[in-house]
Amino acid sequence: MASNANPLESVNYYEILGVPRKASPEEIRAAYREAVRRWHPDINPAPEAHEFFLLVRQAYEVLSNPEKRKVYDQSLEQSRETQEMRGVGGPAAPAPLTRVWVSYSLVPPLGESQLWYAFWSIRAPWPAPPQPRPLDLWLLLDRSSSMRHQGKLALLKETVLETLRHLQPTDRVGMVAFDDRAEILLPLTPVQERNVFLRALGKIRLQGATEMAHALRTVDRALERHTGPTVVWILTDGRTYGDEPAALRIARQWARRGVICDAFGLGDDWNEAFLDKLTGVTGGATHYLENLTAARHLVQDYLRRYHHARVRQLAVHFRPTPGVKLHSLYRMGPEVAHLDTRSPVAMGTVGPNERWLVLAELELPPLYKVRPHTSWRVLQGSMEFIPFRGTPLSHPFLLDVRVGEGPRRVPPKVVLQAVERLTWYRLQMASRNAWRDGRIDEAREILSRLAQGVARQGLRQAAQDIRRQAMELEKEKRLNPEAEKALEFGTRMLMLPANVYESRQHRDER
Amino acid sequence: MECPYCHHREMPGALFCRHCGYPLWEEEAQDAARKAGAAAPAEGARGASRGRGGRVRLRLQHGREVALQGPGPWLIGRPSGASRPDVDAQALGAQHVSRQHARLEWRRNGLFLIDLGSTNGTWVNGARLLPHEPQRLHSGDRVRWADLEVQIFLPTPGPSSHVAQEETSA
Repeated sequence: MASNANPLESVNYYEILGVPRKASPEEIRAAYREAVRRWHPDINPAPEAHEFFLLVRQAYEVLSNPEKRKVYDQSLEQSRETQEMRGVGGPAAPAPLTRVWVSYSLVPPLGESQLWYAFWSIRAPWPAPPQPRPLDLWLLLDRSSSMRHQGKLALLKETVLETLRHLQPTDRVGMVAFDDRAEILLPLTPVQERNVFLRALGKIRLQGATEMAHALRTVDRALERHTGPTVVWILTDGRTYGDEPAALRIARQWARRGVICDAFGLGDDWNEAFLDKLTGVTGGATHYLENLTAARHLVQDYLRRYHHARVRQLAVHFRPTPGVKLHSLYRMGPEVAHLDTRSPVAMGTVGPNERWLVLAELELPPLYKVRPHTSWRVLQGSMEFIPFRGTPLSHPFLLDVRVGEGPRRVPPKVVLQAVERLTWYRLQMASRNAWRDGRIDEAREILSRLAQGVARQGLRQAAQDIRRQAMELEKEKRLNPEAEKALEFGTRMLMLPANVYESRQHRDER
Repeated sequence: MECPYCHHREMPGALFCRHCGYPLWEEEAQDAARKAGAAAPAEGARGASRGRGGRVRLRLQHGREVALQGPGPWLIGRPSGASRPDVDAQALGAQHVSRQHARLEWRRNGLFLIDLGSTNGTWVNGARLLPHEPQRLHSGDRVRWADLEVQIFLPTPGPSSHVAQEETSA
């Protein structure tokens, strides 16, 4: 990977060696030896080990020399001050691309495993474009016969029309209709030719069952190299059977090419676990289209993001230290998604004023053998920002924890909030699973606990909705599927950053 | 570590109970503060301050206050026959409170309110409780039992000796 000078500057020498700013010369020497053992190219075959090894040496050269260290410390202070004075991205020093918070910066040396959380806020290295980027948008429209019910076909068509309304003249749209076969209704066509789209929509005839891989393959063949974002939207009400691996394979290839795939589920029977996974591997997200109002808001949010995308894609490589398990990975913003833990992890793109917010749940191995009050590397990695043109920017990052006895500090608020919301989401899933297995009382109990937690955070409307579901379960011993989907996606929305959540809630009230 | 609320086992370092969503980090921070000999944070200290140091107070709509006597639990309801509830709603002017309407009790981690399957319901800050589901209360919460509305105030943490008192009285 290109080792651009800028991103490396945001990891300072102390961070590279994993020592505190006030570390003694002995600590620095010990940390250096430890780092050499880990990073020496003869020992570590990873491709970026060499690059890191050079950095480690460079860091030690400066920090082991009292005079050089003094000068370096002063420069660190200064760059921080200038940054604060000039605001983020001032010309004097590049602002760090990432901020990270962890649940506990000091962890006890236990004889058993322990959970540990890290939360990143990641800024795109380039500004949003002043003009909207030309967008290639493929619409994959489900025409299986089940679309006939509950006004799903009408909602699908309305959503497409709404999308066309918010596209730019420079955008192109292609349409594919699919059931257990797939057919191109319209190849990539400039948006101005509105009548062509209406005619194509009118050609949709409901038939057959849902098989998604055909549709993905059809689009895959028709994809073109493009200077702007290439996005695939799946609008479906169904479950695809047997062809999931094939569909996922295509999605993984798309991720490598920077093609983002989002899915919008209609009605109550679509397979969100699969769609989550499919869209997740490309850095996209899955949403529930409850009604046209919801569709309208989502379409606008998404198109704004793609038109003003700051990067084509962010791909993050996580390399946990042996023994560390990366349990799960969630993107909490700009759209919520349960990410694949397999590296590289596609994180999608961000629009103006957006950042990637990523929560990692990690399991640390027993740490009782670690020397007390030393720092211990949990993982290292790199973030690869892929631009629309030009060379990718690779930004290495490290994550260390101090091991030692000491009082537990209160974890940072952002971590608490993120993990609490993740817990709610999981509770909601647990309740639904209990309900599906016929354990109604358990499902109801989980929901009412969830409602209490949500109420504790002052989200009254959401708490009341959940409470109502619990009551319904108590009385009717069942939940209607539509309500269930609304509930699930309501809880998922709670995972969004508070401002996004509130603005979407607020708009829905209008 | 074990969740004090639902007794579900969690790995050390867990911030919330996966089973009930209980904020386990609060317990950890509190334990740490105790170990360090410092006063526990206000949020966590409520359970500890229940000894003889302070009383739970109910403020009625007209500003009148009722302090709950004894260690609890306290039954909220209407008198029936010879038995009298701890909080006599009828005496406080309410008409639609059930005989056995709700119960207030201290648990290890705070004061809890449980609706006992009342006819006209229990609300906390405008949200209705499910019957038999304990709800933790915070100072200043507005509670409504049918047509009896009160604001609840928990004792403020007193001197640190309360921690010891709690342990002997538990």
